[in-house]
Order: sequence, then C-alpha cells, then structure tokens
Amino acid sequence: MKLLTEFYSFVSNIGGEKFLRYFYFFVIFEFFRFFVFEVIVLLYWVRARKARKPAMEEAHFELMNRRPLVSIVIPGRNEGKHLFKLVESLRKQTYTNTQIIVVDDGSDDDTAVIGRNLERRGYVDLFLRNDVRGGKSSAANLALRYARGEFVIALDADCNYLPDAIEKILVPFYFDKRIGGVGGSVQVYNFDDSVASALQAIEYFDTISVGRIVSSELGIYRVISGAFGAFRKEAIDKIGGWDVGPGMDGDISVKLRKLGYKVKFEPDAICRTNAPSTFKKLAKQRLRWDKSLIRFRLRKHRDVFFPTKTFLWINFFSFLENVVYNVFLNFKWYFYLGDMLINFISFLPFIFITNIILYATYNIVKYLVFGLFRLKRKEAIIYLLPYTPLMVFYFGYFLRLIRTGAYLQEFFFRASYKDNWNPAKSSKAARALRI
Amino acid sequence: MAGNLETPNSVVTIGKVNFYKINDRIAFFWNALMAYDGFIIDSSNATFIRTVAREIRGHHQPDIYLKGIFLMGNPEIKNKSVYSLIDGFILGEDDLNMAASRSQDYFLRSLDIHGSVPRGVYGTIIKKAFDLLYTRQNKVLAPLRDTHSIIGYNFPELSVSFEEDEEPQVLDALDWAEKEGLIWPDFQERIYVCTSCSGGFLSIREVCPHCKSSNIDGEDLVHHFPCAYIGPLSDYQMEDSSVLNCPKCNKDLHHIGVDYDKPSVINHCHNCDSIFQDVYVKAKCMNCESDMDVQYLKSRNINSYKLTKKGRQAITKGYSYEGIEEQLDVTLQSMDAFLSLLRYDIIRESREMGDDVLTGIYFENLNDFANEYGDFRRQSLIREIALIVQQRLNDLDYICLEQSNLLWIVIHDVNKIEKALENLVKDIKELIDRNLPSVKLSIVFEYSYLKAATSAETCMVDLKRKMLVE
Repeated sequence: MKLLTEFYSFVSNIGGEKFLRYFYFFVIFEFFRFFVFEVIVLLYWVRARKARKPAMEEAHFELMNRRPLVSIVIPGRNEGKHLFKLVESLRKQTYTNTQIIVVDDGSDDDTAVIGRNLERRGYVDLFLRNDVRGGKSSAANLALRYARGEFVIALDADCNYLPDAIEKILVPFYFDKRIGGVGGSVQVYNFDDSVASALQAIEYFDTISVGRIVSSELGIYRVISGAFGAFRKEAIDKIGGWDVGPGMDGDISVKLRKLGYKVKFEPDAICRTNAPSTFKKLAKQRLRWDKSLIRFRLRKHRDVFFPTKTFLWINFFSFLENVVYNVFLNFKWYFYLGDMLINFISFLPFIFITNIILYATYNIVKYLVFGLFRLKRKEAIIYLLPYTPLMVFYFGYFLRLIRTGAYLQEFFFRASYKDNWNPAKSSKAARALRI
Repeated sequence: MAGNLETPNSVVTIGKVNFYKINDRIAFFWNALMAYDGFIIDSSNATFIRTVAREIRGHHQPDIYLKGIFLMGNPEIKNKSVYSLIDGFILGEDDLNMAASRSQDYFLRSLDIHGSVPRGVYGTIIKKAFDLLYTRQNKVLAPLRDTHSIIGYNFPELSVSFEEDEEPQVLDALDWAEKEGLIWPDFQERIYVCTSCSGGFLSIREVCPHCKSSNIDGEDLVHHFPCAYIGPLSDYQMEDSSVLNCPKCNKDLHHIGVDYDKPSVINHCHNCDSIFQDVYVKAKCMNCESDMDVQYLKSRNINSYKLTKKGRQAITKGYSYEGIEEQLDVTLQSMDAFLSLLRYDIIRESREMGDDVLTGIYFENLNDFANEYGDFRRQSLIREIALIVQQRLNDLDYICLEQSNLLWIVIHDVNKIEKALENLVKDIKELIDRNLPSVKLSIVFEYSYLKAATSAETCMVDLKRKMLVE
C-alpha cells in the first residue's frame, strides 16, 4: 500500500522535464522512431500507393499479358514432409507459367523419395538432390543454375502462399525496370500455437512487415525474406546467386543494392510461415539472424560506408540506420540502464514499472493503429490483442538479450562460422576468405 | 523330304533291329519310317543333321518321335541342342550293337506308355516330351543357351515342337506341367523378357524421363565451398587449362574435399534439352522393338526339370484332370454366352417390365497403354477392372469383354444408372491413379434400357456407335 502511494506520488509529481530525463530512451528512440515516424511514413505510403495505383495496374496488365516464365526455387534439407502441401499451394496460384525446382540438400529423411515422386507426377518440374549436404546457399544456387525463368522466386518449403502471392510479388518488376528484387510479406501461420508464436505474429506484423513497408517507401529496404523473395534473373545472375550463409537473404539484398538495383517490399504478396513455437527454438533462430548483421553489415559489406566505386548514398543511409537502430541502440539501452542505476537508484522500481506501463500501452496503441494499415488477415487481430502488452518483455528484454549475446559472440568469436546451420566445410572456406 | 525309301543302302540291320539310314542324298517318306526301329543319320552336314533330328523328335507320331537317333561318325556340330535330341554315335561295330540294344529298350519302355493326353493347349507337346523322358529313363529336361531362341534358351526335347520365335510357349508349357505336379524344377537362371512378345534379347539403357531418348549424358555436379557456387563440371573447365576454375568467384579449385566436392550428378538430354537426375531405365526388345520400363518386364525362371512320381505315373497310367481347373478370380462371359443371356433378358423384358440395362464401357487409349507397358500388363489391368466391375454387380448381372478394350455389362433392376456408372468409372480411375499414376486412361460409357422391340445385336451396335463414333 505504501509502495502504491509512493508510486502515485512519483507519477503525479514527475513533470515534463523529469519525464523526459527518466524515460528518454522510450520517448526518443522508441516512440518517435518506431511509432510517430512510422505512422507518418505509413500515411505517406497510403497516399503514394493510391497515386501509384494506375501505374501498378498497368504493370499488372503487362505482367499478365507477357506471362514470363518464372522459376520457383525451393532449397531445403529434411523438408520432405512439407513438400506436398507447398506444391499444392503453388498449384492453386493465379500465376501459372512457372518452373518449380526443388533442391534436396543432402536430406537424411524421405525427402528424396517424396521429391522424386512429385517430379514423376509432374507436380515439380525439376527435383535435384545433392547426396552430400552443401548448405542452403549452394542448394539455392544449384536451382538457380537450372532456372530458365525471367524471374526467380525463392521459397521456404515449410511455408504456404496465398493464391495470388506469386502474381503480386511479380508486379513491381513491371512497375520499375530498375527493381532487381522484391520481398514478400511473411506472416505467422501458427500464431495460435503458443505464447511464443503469438508474440512473433505480432512482431512480424508490427515490426517486420510495417517496418519493411516504411523502409521500402524510404528506399532503404535491405532484407528480402528468404521465405519469399523474387529476383530478376538477370540481376541475380550478375551477383552470382547466394553466398555462404547464414544471413543469406540479407546478404543477397545488399549485393543487389550495391549493383544499383532497387529492392522493394510488396505487402500484398503474402507468405505464411510456421514460426518457432518455443522460446528455446526462437532464441536459436534469432541468435543466427542477429549474428549475420555483424558479419554482413559490419564486415563483408562494410565498403558501403566508404567512398568506393559502388558507393551509393542510399545504401549508406540504409546501413547506417540499420546499424544505429540495431547495434548502437542495443548497447545504448544498457547505457540507459546504467544511467538510471547510478543516478536514480531510489526511483528505479518506479521507473521500471512506469516503463512497463508505457511500453505496454504503447504496444497496444501501436498494434491497433498499425492494424488500420493491414491489408489481409484481419481475423487474427482480436486473437492477438491480449498478447500485445507482453511485447514489452518479448521485445524489450528477451530479444534484446539474445541480440546482445549474438553481437558479442560474433564481434569477438566470429560465432556465425561455427553455426551448424551451415556445413563446417563451407563455413571454414568462407572464413578463410573472410566472406 | 519326299522320295524313294526303297534304296537298298538305306537300311542297316543289326540282329532283329532295322535302322533306317538317312543321308542328305536320298529322300524319304516319313510315314514309311515308322516301320523301322531307329534311325542313323549319315551326314557331315550339321544343318542337315539338326533339321532331321528336329523333324524326328517334332513328329506327331510316337512311332517316329520315340525312336532312337544315332549319328554316323562324329561330325562337328556347333548347335548343342542336337546332342540332346540324339541317342548316341556310331563310330564302329560295337556302337552299332549298342544302338540296336538301346533301340529295343526304347521300344519296350514305349509299350508302358498310356495313350491318354494331358488336357490343355500344351497337352500333346508335353506328352511327347514326357514320353521321351520316360523311354530314356528319367533323363533331365535341361535348358541350353541358344542365341537362335528368342528367349536365349531352349529345351531341345520340347522346343522341337515350336518355332524359334515361339520359345516362350515352351516356358508356358513347362509352367503348366510344373503346376500340375508332373515335373519338379531345379532353378538354373532368371531371365527378363519383353512384356509384348516375351523375347529375351533386350537392350537395357538409361533414357531421358521426358522424351525417352537414350541420347543423354551425365556430368558431375561440383560445389565450390567458399562461394557456394554449384554447377556441372563443365562450368568449371577452361579451354586452355586443366585446372578447374570457379565461374562465380574466379578462384581455382585445388583439392577435392578441401575447397570443393562433387555432391551429385546431373544428366542432360541432347534430344529434348531437358535436365534431370533420375534417369529412366528402359528395355528395348530386339525382337519386336517394344520399349518398356524395366520394372514392368516379365521375369521367368529357367529351370531344369525332372519327372515327379506323379508325372511318371501319369505317363504309364494316364493323366488325371483333378484340380487342374483354372482358378478364375473374375467371371467373364464369352461373347456368344453374353449374347444368349442378353437375348433371354430381352424376351423376359417383354413379359415383365423391369429396369434392366445394357452398358458398354470403352477404354479409348488402352492400345497406347499396351504399347507402353506390354500386353501382359494390359491383360492384368483389364482383369482388375473387370473384377472391380464384378464386385459392384449382383449375382444375376453378367459381363463380357470385346476386343480387350470394351466391357459389356447387363445390370438388372438398377436405380439411378447414371450415378451408378459414374461411381464405377470413378473407381476404375482411382485404381489406375493408384497403381499407374502416369497413365491417363480415357473411359467412355453408354447405356440403354433393354426393350422388347430392340434386338440384342441392334442394342449393342447402337451403343458401340455412340461410344466409338459420337
């Protein structure tokens, strides 16, 4: 009771200046950047989208009129159990002039049998198997080697795709001939499996999808999702396909940008993925993703920051924003924590509780406001709403700790080269060449 | 070989045994040869010797085919089957006595033989071979490798009754006899034969799964570890160097297992330009030129055979027919029987108004199927289809098959015939989809209610016209 009274007293006497001092991290870095700024861009996007509509319709007409061959490449290991469902979802696509290539990267389950069967039945055009595992990049490159389409779409085997997904992801290529790659929108299919998957569903929508709409509109979009990405064949051939992963999706997007191609996000092209349903699996996945930021942004493609022959201001800002908001602010948060510990130790419980309330409220408001910009899948909004207050723990603590661990591991130990996501032989060779 | 038998030098007499000496200079009448106790072939012409030996053993009269055949001298004969048809060589005086003694033995043993013939199409042929085995005292019926036989083997004692391209029927006859328990098999070899003509000379080759051309080439896939490029070996080969160079990162490949490996192979078809890893293995029959998937080849065992006790008893006491009825899993009426039953039903229809229906189910592209999978598979398929049809019928309903691709069915007192037939066709298609997914069988069906005013033949012709023409 005493604590409540003190907390009430703390809140009622806080005033504007003190509020900013105690909660500057939330106000400046979170609220303005990830809410106010994004809402402004989203409003701009709605207007721009309306203005682009006739040109997009023309692009769509041109696509459907020309009906170019599109190669759909599906690399994977031990993904046999997902293949039939995936192929079924591809057979229901509104865009039908496709060449489906499945590559089995040394699976030790029944993938080969299933794949060969699908090939014999004509459900896939080409099933290729490497008896020895080479990593996802090499599997994707093998498919690319035999892709005959004018465009190449890379998919993950454990996803499924809305019937118009392929058609929608191709339209931007006819809208702007300088577009080299288009990323599709990834949504969480199993959002009702567990708390972990529900929180990821909110994250995929609030942070990933909306974030990508915003970055695409600003021209700084930099990660074409590995689960659903389309490429101009000519462009992907020029960059030599995928390099050794992990983080190959972000890497290929940067390579395209460095060659001067535009990279866009298409929120209408929707893919649904099964997110990790436990926090343990999620932590493993995110550790991998976060390590790749250091490896690719700060090491492999650090030339983006320097005036080399491929220097482009837009790429510079894209990287800068990425590094500042992911790496710098991640560590800045610890600085904020230290600041509060040192200077306001007596108010720390109240600052902590207020922060929780602020973030929870912010997450609910953000979720509802961003919901207005949702294009499809409105049915999950109500289901996920009760989970939004938990985002403060998920995003603010769980993911932040993982991110910190990943950055430190990669900074000091180059841990991504030891990740068994990739076979050791490829990681070893890539490390030797510092790529 | 008609001509004058009564040439004095043609007869060789040893005691009471008279041999007729056959040579390639003097013609003879077969029927007159029955009077002799054995034959001596006096020729150095291997072809003549083979022809005569085959004609004797292949003759329909036991008084000829059971007689001893002896060769004068020891002429060089390449075709080993001749040795199985003859009973010995005459090189000197002693051999003549041996021939006479053996010929008498054969005659005496032939007296034990019962005159009955096993039933079935191969009855006479089997009897001839068995009689020969019996008179030669349980001689083994052994296969011989023979490049002239279309299955690559022959059974001389049986094969004399068939042309060389009919050799598969020898195996059928032996299978039949084995099934009846008359002979006992001893496995020698397993062969695979053409599904269409049962020929054993097959050219097995890897072909393109798309166009079935054998004009294909395989190549290793090479994975360069540092840059994750993967492609066929030719991508890495340079015109002016033996060193492999990565087309993506332009680095030389050094050591397999260290900076690159070969995880798989890829095939390219020069005919249709397609790419694939899984080749089809096809067998082309050198006899009838059918090209079929190896998994559909018929396998046949090549055994040597001995007479069983039952077989020996059958030779001397006659053949029992118990248990040799063919077990039919499906009852197909002959066309004559079907027409008779149909006529009866039409007459019955004039007396009592029923809902009896004549239905035709026509399999349009079954011949294409036979070309691909062979006649044997087609027959199995038709049989299975007929079984499905039969399972859906009542006891009084009946079916027959016309020309292997048209099923006629009479169904009595049926409601909602259209629905029933649609379900039937659906079941047939499911059967085919399940077992032969690559086959797209086109099925047409028509039906007509039986009417007293329309004859059975007219009714069938009308339906056939609808199915085949319209």
